[in-house]
Amino acid sequence: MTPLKFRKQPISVKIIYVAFFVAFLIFAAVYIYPLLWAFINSLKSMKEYATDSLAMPSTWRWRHYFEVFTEFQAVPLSGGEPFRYMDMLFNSLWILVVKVFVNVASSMLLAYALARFRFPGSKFLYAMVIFANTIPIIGAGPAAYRLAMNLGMVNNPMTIWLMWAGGFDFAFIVLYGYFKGVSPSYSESAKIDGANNWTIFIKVILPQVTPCLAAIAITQATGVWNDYSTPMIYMRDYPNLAYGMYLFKDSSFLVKDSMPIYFAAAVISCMPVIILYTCSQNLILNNMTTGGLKG
Amino acid sequence: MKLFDNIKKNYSRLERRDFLFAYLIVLFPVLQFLIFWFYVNISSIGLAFQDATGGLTFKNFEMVWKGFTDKDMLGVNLLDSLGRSFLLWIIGEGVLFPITLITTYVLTKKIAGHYVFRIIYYVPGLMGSIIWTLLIKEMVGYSGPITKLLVGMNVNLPTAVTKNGLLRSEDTAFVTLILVRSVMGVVGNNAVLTGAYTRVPDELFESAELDGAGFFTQMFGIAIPCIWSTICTLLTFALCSVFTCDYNVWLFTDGTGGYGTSTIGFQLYNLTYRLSTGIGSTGYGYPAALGVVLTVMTLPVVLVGKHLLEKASENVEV
Repeated sequence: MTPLKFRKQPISVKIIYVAFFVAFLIFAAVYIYPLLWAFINSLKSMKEYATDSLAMPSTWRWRHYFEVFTEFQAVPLSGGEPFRYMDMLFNSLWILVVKVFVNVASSMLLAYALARFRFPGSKFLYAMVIFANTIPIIGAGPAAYRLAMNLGMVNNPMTIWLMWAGGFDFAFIVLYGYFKGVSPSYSESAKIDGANNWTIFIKVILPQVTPCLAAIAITQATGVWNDYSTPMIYMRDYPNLAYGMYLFKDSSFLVKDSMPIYFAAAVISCMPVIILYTCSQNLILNNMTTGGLKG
Repeated sequence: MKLFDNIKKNYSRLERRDFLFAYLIVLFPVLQFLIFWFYVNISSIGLAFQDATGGLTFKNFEMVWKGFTDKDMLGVNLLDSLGRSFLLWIIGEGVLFPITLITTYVLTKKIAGHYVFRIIYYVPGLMGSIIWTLLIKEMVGYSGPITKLLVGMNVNLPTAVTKNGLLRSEDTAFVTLILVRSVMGVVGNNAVLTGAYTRVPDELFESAELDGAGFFTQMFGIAIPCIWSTICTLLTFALCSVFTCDYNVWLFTDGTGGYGTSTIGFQLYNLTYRLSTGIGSTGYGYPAALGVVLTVMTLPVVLVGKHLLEKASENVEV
């Protein structure tokens, strides 16, 4: 979209934009304040925090950021050995990689097949995806948990990924539109040159949709990194950082300066996704779009 | 076999090779869907009619009815929860979505500082509900800056608030949740909407500007009609979540949903969580029956809403 040429605008538009700018500034302050507040309190002693959470620290205790890795512990609900920050960081990383990969791969394969091939049953499958996404079937959580229990998937990293690999989701909708937008002439030319479907998919199509795949993966990664509810039910023995932050509030008796260290852990935990988003903002915004739903 | 014969008869070898490839790549997603969506949902309906021994019963639905008319097995009035869910949803989709539509448009026009603003607006989403919620909880606690600010401004707060914070009083807990939802919800769908806005051809705005179209005419007359199908898609998705979002009630209330904050989404998560821990579990039947009842209640709303949105999408001229 054409950027605004502020100087050339009539005074009425200038006023509107200045009003928006001021409103954006206010909202930015509201959004950034909790993070700033957490950062300042992470550098205080527990006593300072309890006395006045608004004051600046008398001594800036940067050591709290190192102590996160040595002191931060979260006791599992079932009791037993507390989880360390590094354990949870490792769990966060593997859950993120596995969950994002299986989910995006599954959506991608389905979207490619339905967008580019007209095979018997393809219309029905597309209708099913739309149905699953637009018709609310509520309260299946207990049944899903029972199935996972019966299949031995709860607390089992080797099999739980099967549950996360659903391709009938919003990523499908975005990818379907993207695949539809890729000109078929490339794959037709490759076909004439003798390439088979796998070669076309891997060497011709995938490079063209990589930006969209990356955008979806990054968007999903932020959600997975911050997801506490799935590990809380399905992976209780493998808590990620988000779930660990939740558990920590019941484990704070284990740690001196517990709240400041907790705030330091919060700041450290959200930094990877903030940095990732900052670096990939344009990629996400230019590649995440969806059209209408017909089905 | 007849299907294979038909395929063999009606399609060329090349087409059959394409079909084989397509079937191979959809095999895993379809199997996953059949097991973890189709089977799960069918089994959920079955569980609603089963007692603990697997026998046929309607007791679960009686308990749901009791939940709506009095209190459910966890001591919650479901009608109240439904009302709260709906109110939070209306604020999200009826108030915040239009605001997001406008703010995203202005940011797409590359207003001064747009890059930084975009990052900052994502901060709550990027921090994640757990960290954001726990920070807000500390801030609205009895010694938190927000409670202190209200006390400092001589706002007449209930004693429970000054003693325990804004989330521990019937008078203020849900209002606090609404305010938090309002502040956090403005950024929702920003990425998808920006993607859609950036695809609107520049020529349309340039010619409109030459014709003397002002800011609002360009936004409501060009930009929004051009991305109308995206808007309809997002609203259709939003319709499905009318009663299922828990709006972080679990985190705000330490899993209790107390002080008049329980929503239906919270209640559904709470029931599943209790099953997983085995502590205070109601069994599978009651949550499944609640799900069936809610689905039946939501389905007509969603179908009518979807139909209207599709009609609206067809009627928009660009």
